[in-house]
Amino acid sequence: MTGFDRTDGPRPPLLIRLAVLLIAAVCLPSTALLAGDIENDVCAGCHEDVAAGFTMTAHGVYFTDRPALVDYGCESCHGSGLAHVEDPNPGNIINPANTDQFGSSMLCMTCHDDGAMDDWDFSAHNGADVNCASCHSVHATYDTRQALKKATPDLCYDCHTDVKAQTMMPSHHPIAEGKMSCNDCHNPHGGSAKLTQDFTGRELCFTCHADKEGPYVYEHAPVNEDCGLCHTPHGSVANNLLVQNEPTLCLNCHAMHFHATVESNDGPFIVPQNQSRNSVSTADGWKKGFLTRCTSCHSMIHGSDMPSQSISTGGNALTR
Amino acid sequence: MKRLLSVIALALLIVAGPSLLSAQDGELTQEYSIWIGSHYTTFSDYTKKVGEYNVGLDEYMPEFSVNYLGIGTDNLFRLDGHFYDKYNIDGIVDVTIADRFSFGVQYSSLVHRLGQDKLEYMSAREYFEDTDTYGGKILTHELLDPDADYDLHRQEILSELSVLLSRKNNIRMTAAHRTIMTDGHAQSLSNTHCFSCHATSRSVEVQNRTHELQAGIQADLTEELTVGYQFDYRSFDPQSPAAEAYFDQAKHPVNGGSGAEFSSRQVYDDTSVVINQVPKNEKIGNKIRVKGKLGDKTRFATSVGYNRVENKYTEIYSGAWTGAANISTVLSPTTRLVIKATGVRIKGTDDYYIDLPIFRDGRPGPAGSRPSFDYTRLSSLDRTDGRGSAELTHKLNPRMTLSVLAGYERIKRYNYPDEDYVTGRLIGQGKLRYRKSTNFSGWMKYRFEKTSDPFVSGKGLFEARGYEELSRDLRNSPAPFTFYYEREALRYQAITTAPTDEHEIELRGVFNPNPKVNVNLGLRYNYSKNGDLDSLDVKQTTMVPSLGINLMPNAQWVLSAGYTMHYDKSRGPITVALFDG
Repeated sequence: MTGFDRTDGPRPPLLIRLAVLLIAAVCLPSTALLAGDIENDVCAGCHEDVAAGFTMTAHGVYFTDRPALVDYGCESCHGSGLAHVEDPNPGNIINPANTDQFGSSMLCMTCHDDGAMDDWDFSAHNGADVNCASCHSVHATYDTRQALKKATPDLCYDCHTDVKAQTMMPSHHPIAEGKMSCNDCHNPHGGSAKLTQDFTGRELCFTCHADKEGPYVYEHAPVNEDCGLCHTPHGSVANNLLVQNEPTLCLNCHAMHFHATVESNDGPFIVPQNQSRNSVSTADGWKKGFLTRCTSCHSMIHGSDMPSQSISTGGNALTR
Repeated sequence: MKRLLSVIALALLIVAGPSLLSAQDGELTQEYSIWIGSHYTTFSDYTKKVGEYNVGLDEYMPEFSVNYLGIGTDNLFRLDGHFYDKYNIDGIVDVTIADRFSFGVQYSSLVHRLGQDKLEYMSAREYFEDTDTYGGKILTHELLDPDADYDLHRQEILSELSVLLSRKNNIRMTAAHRTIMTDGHAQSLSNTHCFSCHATSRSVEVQNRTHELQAGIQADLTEELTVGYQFDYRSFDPQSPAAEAYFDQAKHPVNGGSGAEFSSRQVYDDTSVVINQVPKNEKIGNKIRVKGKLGDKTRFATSVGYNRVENKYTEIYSGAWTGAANISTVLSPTTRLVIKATGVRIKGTDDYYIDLPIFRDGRPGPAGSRPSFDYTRLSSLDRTDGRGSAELTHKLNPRMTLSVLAGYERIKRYNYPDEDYVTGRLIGQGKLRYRKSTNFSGWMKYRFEKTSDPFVSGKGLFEARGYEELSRDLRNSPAPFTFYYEREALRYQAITTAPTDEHEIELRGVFNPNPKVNVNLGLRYNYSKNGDLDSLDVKQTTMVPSLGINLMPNAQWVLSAGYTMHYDKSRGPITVALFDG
């Protein structure tokens, strides 16, 4: 069972197809598609550019450590080249880049079956029919990590264009500045990302923002629920990656202070018992004060161990 | 000292690294480049938060980079370094020996400009026709460091090691360590509530350290079964001293009198106390993974773990048992089924008691005017979270694939906002993919989520405090001394703007007319609303059309151009002013 899909050009004769399938079925469990029908030099006769740089690729280096594999070379991944040599039609040889999730993924996984790929079978990319060759250039020289076609985030942006737009918004993680990579939070092969715990979005965020985890005496319930209730990770027009600006975001859940509805006076004033504190008010002063930024006073919005000042709030106002 | 040792170790690695390369028959290939330059930045007319990761200096700065790649017979050594300015430095050193050994160290630094909130909007006084009249509630602000330019310098060092101990059973050991150092100054705000509302801004030193260690081992027990163990440790330590602030002496906001009365309504006043203290915490996790094959057609991966995080200042903790199981099975050469399930049980510190002063303790007045606000805090963390999905993918023909997904999520919160509050979410998704060789592929997707009882903010303005009943009916008989904090039950209702219905449509096409040209076209449309709310008309619409073009004339060049528009419209009417004082 290989399920390799070849849709380019005419199909090879039935016997050759069966032969390829048989060889693949026998060899897949241990060494991919080892065939041993055609010498590498024969392939190099036409694919000179690929052959010339192969020792500089990650696969080339890997094969060098295994003399048994060197002899198979190209056929390790492309299967028997017999039919292709007889008729150079591209349809006569397996092209991993031209197969779907029933094909190329399983081919590569026969060797790339270490811990990093544990979850590939169940990953969103595999489910979306993204194959290995969609992101990796197997024949490319070892110049970027993991033989990627392009470096991240540009590689990811090719498909995730909506994310690209968000990362250009005024508030964003420093991805465009080259200080973060998509892989810092996402694992394109499925499972958890680098150095992170599984399961919840909170855990992932806390790997860098550990100061927000607490646990706190005075909690803010959304922090314990999901960071995404208030923040959008890829970018936002609101400061601090908030999904909406303050106070609108806060007012989605909380009633505003009554002070905001009070009319105030115009002109300068002096605090009665502290002459150094003088200021200028406007008729909308209370509205500005209480409807600009809630976190100016509720500064410990992610939680606190210290009680706030008024007894009647139960010390729970997150102002200290 | 630590920094010096790190620099010495890195220098030794750089010098010794290339000599580690071994080559047979002179097949050692080396590439290197050195680049020296300069750049000039100016930000005379910018808003600092827009350029929040720019260093923001008006001057020329030297810049250079070094790149080296050596490839031996079965080994690699790579060094990349880039100095942009003293706040922006990146470096990577990699040593790889086939699949037996790899070790790498990465360093990255950046500056995060925070800007300063000048608090000008916090300036108001209650209205009196005669503005010279003494008194009236006052809102003021005070900048103790008005000229401070707040920024943080973040440095991260990540080291990763992988060693194949035995090829026979594929025994591999991995270890990683990460340090995050955040230094600088930030704006710290405090506010004192009596006798005037007074916000104070001060500069505080930031010196945070996060250390994270991960170690694991994995082995093949049989050809079909692999087991692994992973240990995680993380500590967060704010090393700078916590700031302190003086809180005004409590007094009547208008006439400045009645100090004892107003003081008896505060937890603290006329004193300096620690403010905005972020706790030191520590997290330890253990996880066991088992993966393998069941016959020729089924693969599975499961894990069970437990992690515990503790606040080292208060000894509050939370512990979480986690479990996951994923199964992928090939039902036929053209059909596969993927089933996923995860479960988390989080338990916080039991019944933390909040002990507050008696309201108006020692003051005269009728019974009921000196209530206790003590309560037992039950954590909103306590919950069981279960999620499961099944996705069936069928290849209709060599060019078309159809997948259908159904999922269900259930979160049971034991204490928030009320006892045993359950959110359920039903998920459905259909996706049709078309692939015509490598020249064209495209897909269309529809997804919906139907949520019952989404997350709500418990009891509106204030969180639950264990004070169940109001002492008086405000409309008829306000209680002396306690009326101002007592409000109708309406104000303690739970409220949400989270959607109950969400629909998403996504279309995408990828064209590769030849190996040198790649064109991406996409559109995502999302509509969500809350259908359970009578009073709030909550809706959100997102639309993202996009176009991307990549030209790859040769292996050295990729020219990319793209246009993406993000349209987002939210409608969540805010609450009215219910807090009448």
